[in-house]
Amino acid sequence: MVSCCLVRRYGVPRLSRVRTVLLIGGIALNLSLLGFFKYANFFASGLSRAPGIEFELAPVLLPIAISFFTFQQITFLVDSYKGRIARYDFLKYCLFVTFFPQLIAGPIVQHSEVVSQYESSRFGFLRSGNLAIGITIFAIGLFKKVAIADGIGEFADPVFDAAAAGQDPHLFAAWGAALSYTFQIYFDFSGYSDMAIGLGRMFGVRLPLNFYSPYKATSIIDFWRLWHITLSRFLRDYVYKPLGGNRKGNYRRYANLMVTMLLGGLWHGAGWTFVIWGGLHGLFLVVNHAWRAIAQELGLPAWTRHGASVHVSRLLTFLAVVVAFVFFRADSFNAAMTILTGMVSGPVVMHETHLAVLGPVGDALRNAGVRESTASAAYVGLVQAGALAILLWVVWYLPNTQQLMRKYRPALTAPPADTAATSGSRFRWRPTLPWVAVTAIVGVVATLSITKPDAFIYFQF
Amino acid sequence: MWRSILKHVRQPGNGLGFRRTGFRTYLLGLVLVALPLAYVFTAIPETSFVGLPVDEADYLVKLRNSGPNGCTTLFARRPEVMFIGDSHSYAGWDFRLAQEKLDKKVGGCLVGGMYIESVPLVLSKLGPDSWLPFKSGYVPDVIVLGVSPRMFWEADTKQQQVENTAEELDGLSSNSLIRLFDAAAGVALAENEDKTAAKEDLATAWHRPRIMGLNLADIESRLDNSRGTVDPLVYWTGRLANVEYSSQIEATINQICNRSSSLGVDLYVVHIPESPYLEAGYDSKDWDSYMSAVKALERCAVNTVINTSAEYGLDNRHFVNRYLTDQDYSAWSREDGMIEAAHFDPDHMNPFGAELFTAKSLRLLFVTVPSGVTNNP
Repeated sequence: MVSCCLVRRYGVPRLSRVRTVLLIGGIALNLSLLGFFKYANFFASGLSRAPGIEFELAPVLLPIAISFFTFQQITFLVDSYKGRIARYDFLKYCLFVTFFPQLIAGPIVQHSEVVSQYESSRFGFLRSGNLAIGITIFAIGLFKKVAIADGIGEFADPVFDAAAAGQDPHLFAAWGAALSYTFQIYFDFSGYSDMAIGLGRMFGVRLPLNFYSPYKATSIIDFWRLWHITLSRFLRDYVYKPLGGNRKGNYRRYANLMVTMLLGGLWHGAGWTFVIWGGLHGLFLVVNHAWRAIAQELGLPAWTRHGASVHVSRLLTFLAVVVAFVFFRADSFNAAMTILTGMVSGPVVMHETHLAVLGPVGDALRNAGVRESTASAAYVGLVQAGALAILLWVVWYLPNTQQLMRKYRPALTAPPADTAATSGSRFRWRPTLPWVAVTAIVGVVATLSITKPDAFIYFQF
Repeated sequence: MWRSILKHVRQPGNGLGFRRTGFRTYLLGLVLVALPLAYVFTAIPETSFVGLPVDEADYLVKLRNSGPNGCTTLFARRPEVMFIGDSHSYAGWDFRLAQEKLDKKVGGCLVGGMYIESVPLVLSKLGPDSWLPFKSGYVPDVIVLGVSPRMFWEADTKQQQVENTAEELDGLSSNSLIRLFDAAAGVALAENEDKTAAKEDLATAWHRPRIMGLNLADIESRLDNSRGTVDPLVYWTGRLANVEYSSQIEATINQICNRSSSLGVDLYVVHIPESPYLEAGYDSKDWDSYMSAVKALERCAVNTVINTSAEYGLDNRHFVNRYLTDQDYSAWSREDGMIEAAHFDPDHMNPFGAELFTAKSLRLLFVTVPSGVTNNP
C-alpha cells in the first residue's frame, strides 16, 4: 500500500528532488522490511559473537514470499520513477503483487508485463484454449516436482544430513548426493515455473519466462540467462547496472559482478553457505567474462558453439554448477566441505554383489583399494546411478516445456537468443488424441505421487 | 465403426498422423482418460508392485531377514496383518506359515536393532486415505508387535539405532515414482531371480534331521564351555550383566496405545522367546521389569502373550545354525569339537524354531478373536 501511495505522490515534475526522495524512501522501506524479517537473526548471531556484546533476538518468523514481492515492489517504484508506468490503479496494483500463481516463488514480474493483461476485456474468463494449454503445462510441472524432484531428493538428504553430523561420505555417496540435489533443485524449480505459467495461463495471464533448460548452458554466462531468468533480470537492471555495469572498464565490471552475485546469494537465504554460493558464481562469471575477453583479443573462434566442444563446455559448466550447489544445500560450511572432500578424495566403496558381477574387473578393483560393503544401501546406489544417468540425458537432450508448447507461446517473454538451450526440437504439443493420453498419464502419475507435503525449495526464499 | 473412428482421428499427411482436435474435445478427452487411468494406477500396486510380478513365497521368506524391503513395500503390498519388531521378530516368524494359518495377507516392517521408541514412528507412518485425490493411505486390520527385552533397554548406540530405523522408515509412506520403482526393482530382482523360497525349502530338508538330531546335553555342555570365547555368547554375557531399562517406556507405550487406537487397528503383543541358554542368564529383577513393561501394553492390546521358550517347546536346537549354512554338526558331540559364532545364535530362532513358534503363538494370540483372523493351526 505504501509503495502504491508513494507512486501516486510522484505526480510532480520528472527528476525533481521530491520524486528522488520518495523513490529512495520507498526502496529503503521495502528493503528494511526484508532485512528485518529475513536477516535480523543472521546479523544478530554474528554480532553476538563479538567480544563484549551480549544479546539475544527472539526468533523472527519469515513472511512467506517476502523476497519475491519485495523485489516486485521495488521494480514498480523504479519503473514508476522512470515514467515507464502510465496508469496507477490500486486494485490492479494489489493483483500485481499478490497474483497467486507467481506470488510465492516467482517469476518476479514487472508491472507493465501483467497489468495490461489484467486490464484486457478477456481477463477473468475461462477459455477452453487457455485451460487446455494451462492444464497441460501445469501437469508437466507437477510431474517434475512430485515424481522427479521429490523422488531424487531422497537420495541427497541422508548424505547431506550425515555430513552435517560430521560423518565422512565415501566417493560415490558424495557424488550421488551432490548430483541428486543438483537434479532435485532443477526439477523442483522447473516444475514450479511450469506450474506458475500453467496456472496463470488458465486465467488468461501469460507470465514471463523464468526457467529454460539451464543445464544445457555451455558457459556460466549462459547458465544465468537460463536459470531464474527474472531474478537475473532484476539483479542486472536494479543492482548491476546502477553499480556501473560494464561501462567503467573491466576491473570495475568484475567487481560489480562479484557484488551483484554476492547479494544474489544472500537474497536466497541468511547464511554464509548462500553467500559462498553467490560468491562462487560471481567468480565463475568473472572467469567466464575474462576468458571471453582474452579469446576475443586473440581472435579465437567461439568454440563453445560447435561440435564436441559444445559437450565439453556443457560438462564443465554443469560441474561448476554442481560444486556450487553443494554449498547451497549444505547446512554449514563444514558440511559442504565434508561433501566436497568426499567427492575428491573419499574412499571408493562398492557393494560386494556388484564387485562379484564384475568378475576379474571386480578383483582388480579390490586390489586397487576399492572397499567392499554389504550394506543394503549399496543396492540403492545402482538404482540411484541409473536414475541420475537418465535425468542427465533428460536435462541435456530433451526439449523443455516451452519448446514443446512454442506454437501457443505459453510465456510472455521469448527465450534468450543465441544459447545452446534454444536449439530446435521436432516435438511439439498440439491438442490431439495422443497428447490427451500423454497429458492424462503425466497428470495422473503426478497426482498419485503426492503422498507427503514436500514444499518447493524456492518457497523458503 | 472402428474404421470411422480411425478415419476421424487420423489425418493423412500430418506429422504424427493425428488430427488436431478442438480445445474443448481435448479437455473432455483429458477427463475421460484420466479418471479410469487413475483407477487402474491405484489398483496396480495392490497386485504387483507397479507391474513387476513378485513371487509371494519368495517375498515372505525374504522378510525373515533385516532390510528395508518389508517397510518400503508395505504401502504397495498392503498386508491385512502387519508384523512389527526387531531381529528377534524377523527371525522368529515363519511368514509363509503365518499367511497360511491366518488366511490373510501378511507383511511387516521389521528392522534389526529396533527399539520400542521406534514403534510409534512406524505407526505414525500409517494412516487412512488422504483428502488428496487418489492418494492412498494404508492401515492394516491387525498389528502384531513382537517384543524382546533388549527393545526396552538403554544402550550407548541407542540414539544412533533409533535414527537409523527412522531413516529406513523414511520411504515407508512415500509412494514417489522413484521410490516405488526402487522398491519394486529391489523385490523383483532380489527374489524372483534368487528363488529364495525354493532354496530355503531345499536347505530345510537337508538340515532338519541334522539339527533336530543333535543331543541337547551336548549342546548345553558345549555352550557352557564356550561362554567366554564365542562372540555372540560373550556379547550377551556382557549385556545381561549391565541391564538398564529405558526411562521412556511409559511415555512410549502411551504413544503406541494412542496411535493404534486412533488408527482403529487391533494390536496384538507377543514376546519373542530367546534360547533357553540366554533365558537362563537373566537376573530375576531384570526379567520382572521386562514383564511389567510388556504388561503395560495390555491396556491397549487385544491380546498379549508372554511365554518362555520352554512353554512353546523350543530348546537350544532351535537356535542352532540360523542361516542353515554348511557346518560340521559332529563338532557339537566331539570332546575336542569347537563351535563358532555362526553355530549358535542365542536370540534368533532358526527356521525350525520359527516354524514351531509361529504355529503355537498364533494359536495363542488369536484364540480369543471370534472374527477377522481365523484360528486353524
